[in-house]
Parts: sequence; C-alpha cells; structure tokens
Amino acid sequence: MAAIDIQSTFQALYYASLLSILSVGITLSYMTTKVFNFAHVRFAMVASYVAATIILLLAKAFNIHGDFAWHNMAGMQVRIPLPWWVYAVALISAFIVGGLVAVIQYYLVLRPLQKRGAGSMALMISTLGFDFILIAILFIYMTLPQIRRLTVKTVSLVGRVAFDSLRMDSLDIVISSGSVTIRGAVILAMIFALATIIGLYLLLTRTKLGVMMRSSIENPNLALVLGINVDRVFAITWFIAGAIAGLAGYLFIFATVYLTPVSPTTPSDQIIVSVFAGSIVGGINSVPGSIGGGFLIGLIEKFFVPLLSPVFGPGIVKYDKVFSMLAVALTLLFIPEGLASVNWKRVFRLGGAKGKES
Amino acid sequence: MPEPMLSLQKVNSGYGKFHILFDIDLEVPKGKITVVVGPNGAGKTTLLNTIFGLATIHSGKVIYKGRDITHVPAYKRAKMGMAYTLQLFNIFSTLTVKENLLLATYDIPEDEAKKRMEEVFQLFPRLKERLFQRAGTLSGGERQMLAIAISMLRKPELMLLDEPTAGLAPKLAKEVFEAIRHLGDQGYTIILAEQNAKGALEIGDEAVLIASGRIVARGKAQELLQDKDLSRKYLGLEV
Repeated sequence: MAAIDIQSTFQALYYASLLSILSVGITLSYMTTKVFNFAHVRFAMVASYVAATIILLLAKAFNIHGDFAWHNMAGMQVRIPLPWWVYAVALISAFIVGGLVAVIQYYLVLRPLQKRGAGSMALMISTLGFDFILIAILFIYMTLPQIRRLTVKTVSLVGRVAFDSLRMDSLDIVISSGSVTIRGAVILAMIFALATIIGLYLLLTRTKLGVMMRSSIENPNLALVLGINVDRVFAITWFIAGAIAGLAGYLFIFATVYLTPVSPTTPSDQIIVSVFAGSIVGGINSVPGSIGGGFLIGLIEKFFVPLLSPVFGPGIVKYDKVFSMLAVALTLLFIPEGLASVNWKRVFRLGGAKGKES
Repeated sequence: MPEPMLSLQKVNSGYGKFHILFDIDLEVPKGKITVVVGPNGAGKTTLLNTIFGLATIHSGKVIYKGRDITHVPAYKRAKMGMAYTLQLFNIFSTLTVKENLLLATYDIPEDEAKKRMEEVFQLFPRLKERLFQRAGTLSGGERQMLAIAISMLRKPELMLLDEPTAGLAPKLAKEVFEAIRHLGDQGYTIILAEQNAKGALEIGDEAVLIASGRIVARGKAQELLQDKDLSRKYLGLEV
C-alpha cells in the first residue's frame, strides 16, 4: 500500500471539504426548484473576483504592505501576510456576493421561467445560459482598465497579482511545524465544511426560518395556505446556497493554480463534475447526504485514487474523475436517492447479525 | 340582507391557459356551512383553489369581506383570515404532529398559540397523544383531523375544506362531518367541497351543485338533498 504523506492527506481533506460545501449548495437549490444549477460553481468564481478586488482595494486604501516574515506563535512558525481584518472583510464580501448572485439567478431567470410553466429541462438549460453570462461578465471585469490599474498599483504592496491569472496564494496564511507546512486555506476549508454542517443543522431544525424552509420544500402549496411566502423562503434558500459557494470562492483565490473566469485549470471548471457527483452520491434531496457525498467523492479522488498508483502507475491520478463518475453510476443503479436514503441502522444491524452467525 | 363573507362575480378560472370554471357567481354567507357538491372532475377543487388564489383567474372578481382580492397572492389571503385544508398532501408528512401544529401558529404570539392548541386538542384528543409522532405515520382519519386542526389553529374567518372525508371509513367520515358541524355551530364560515354529497348536505346550511365547471343549482342544503332529479342526475343519490 502506498504511503500517503501528511501533506497529501491535508490536500485531500481540503479538496473533500471544498466539494462538500459546494455539493450542499447544489442540493439546496435543487430541493427548492428541482433543477440542477450548472451556474452554481460560477457563483464561487464571482465571489473569488470580488474577494480579490476587496483585498487589493483595502491594500491600496490603507497602504498595507504584505508581511512575508515568519513569526513564532505557540511553538509554530506562522506567516500572516495581511492584517486579519482584511481577510475577514474579503471573506464576508465573498459570502454576501455569492448569495446575491444566486438570488439574482432565482428572481431574474428561474422564477419567471417557472411562472411561464417551463419544464425542468428548460430550467436546466437556463442555468447553463446564466453560467455563460457570468463568465462573460467576469471576462469583461478582469479586463477593465480600472482593474488593471488597481493591480499595477498594488504590486509593490502585496506582491504580483494580476486578474488575468488570479492567484494570491502568496497572500495565504501559512503555518509550519517541523516538516509539516499547512496553508490557511486548507484549515479554513475544513472549518467551513464543519461550520456548514453545524450551521445548516441548527438553521433547519432549531429556527422558525428552518422549519419554514423544510415545509416549503416538502409541500409549497400547503406552506402557501399557511401564509408562508414560499417565494421569499426559496429566495433565502438560494441566498444561503450561493453564500456557501462564496466561501469556496474565497478559498479559490489562495489556490496554487492560476484562475480565469473559465479555463481547464480554473478550479470551478475542474470540480463541477465532482460537485454534482457529491450531490448525487450523497442524496440530491438530502442536505446532510450531499455534505457527506461531497466529502466522500473528494476523498475518493484525492486520497484513494493515489493509493492505486503502485498498481496502475502514477498516471492513474489523472483519471480520478472516472472514479467519481463510477460512484455516480453505481449510486443511480442501486440507490437512486443516494446514500442518505439508505437505512444505515438496518444495514449495520444486518451486518452485526451476519457477523454473529458466522 | 347582510353582506356576504365572500362573493365570486362572473369568475372564469383554471390553471395557466386551461379554462376550468365558467362564469361562477357565488355568495358565501357569514357563519354558515356552504357545501359544494358535484361529480368527479366538476371543478370543486378548482373553485376552492380560485377562492384561495392557487388557480389562474382569467376574468371576474373575488370579493372577500368587501375587498377585491382577485389578484392578492395566496400567502397574503392566509393572513387575511382565510384557511384552506387541501384534499391531498394537506399535512407535512416528514414533520412531527407538533411541528405541523407549530407551523400553523408561526405568526401568532406564543400564549395565544398555546390556547388555540388546547382548543384543538379538545376537539381532536387523539392528536395530543400523537404529538411527537411523524405526521406521515398517522392513520387516514388522524391525518384529516390534523389537516383540519392546522386550519383551525389559524382561527380563520373563512375555512375552505376540500373533501376532508375522502378515503375514510364510514365511521371516521361521520366523525369528521360531526367535527365540521361542530365548527359551524361555533360560528366558523365554512366552504366544504365534498364528493360524499349525502353526508355533506346533511350537515350543510347552503349548497351549490357544480358540473362541468358551471354552477347548475343552488339553495338550502336540505332542499338540494331532497331534490330527486338533481340528486339522481348529478350526485348518484337515490332519495
């Protein structure tokens, strides 16, 4: 069995966390409108550009110079290039913008089409159309003279950053201890995934809004006759889905690959297939299912597939998406409602009973 | 003559482009049970959906308590004192009985909500016993009781009930009809659409007979029940 070093393990956990927070958004939007939203991951890209712009604007406005020195904190070497509040403002902006773009799609595209009686196929195609519009807007945005000037002016402050190859990994927080070096984005991804699980659980089960969301999703007509503004509840659900994608977008800017609005190397284009896979494998109608499904697909691609390299050669890792698709195919064949629909208590009871028999 | 609680004036409605109801004129008096009967596919549910804003109104007016509500969205009608018990999917089956009841009182002060719940439990004591049970696991009769309880908790001025006895055993259906009559005696204004014409007309005050999307007869419920010709022709009843 191939040894997986700690660095690769963290990388796999980062990727799995990213997939799980994006998959849950796909599920939330599917549960309300019954449509697979192909633009969902692009919400993250929009949030990336906004967060990057905010960082540069703040750096320029407050003349913030990147601090790339290592500091000793609690026995570890830590590098924090920017003040905490800059990261926080960028993160909040990404969260809000991701949510707002989702609400715009809901009110301007999906709701009007639904009112005209559009079927699920038409709605799905419309999400692709909205995705193309977002790509076009991002291309226009990154080539705006004002944006170019902003990046030129901030080079001396925070290092080389250009919007045609959005990459700010040099500005990421880095923690180093012994031979292990962990990037802040990796830790944040896991925190975001955990916060999403806890946050959504509390929202859906402990708040009035959550119960209204669940009831509107289960039976919109009955919710309407109880006086619930189902349209608004769905819009809030879309906001939450988009805002969670915004969290992923914030993480994208610290990725170690160059970003453009659309390209084979852009994270959003690389992972959209895996995000859908996570949502389907976990259960397209289950919030906890999709979180688990996203995490599972992430681990399959970045943790288990590399384990196969001693047998099939290192080239196997290029085919990690094949394994995700295989997981989707098997799920649809045997448990179409996803892993969340399985009665695990019964499965484990049966397993236990068989174990005793043998 | 006192102003009716609700009136429909030359209403044509349906779903999207589909036209189902034609030139409906209807007046619902306050504090009475108005029964809507008719054969399958006559348009009874569409009539209730039209009143509550769940159908498309092509022309005509819906007047509620003297106000034109033709274009008021459904959720706002609920806040104006209307409640609607749907024929199908009329409870949240994945939620518990308690959660269903709480949802019906989400916009009501807590003390008032508790008071109303106690009133509901007096009428349907079985619901109190099933409070923490998933609504989807209730029996057919209990489900209908919960559905009516949800409407009752809204303390509506106008209550729409769509076939509350559908699929129930005769004994349970009788219990549900008795509960509805009890509500009528308490002063609720009720529009009851029923397939079980005999049972509904027996407890009703006023009645309309609807067929092929048009009102073909109206009058006192007892009179309609006694009308041999109409009963035989439209309701399959032998008087």
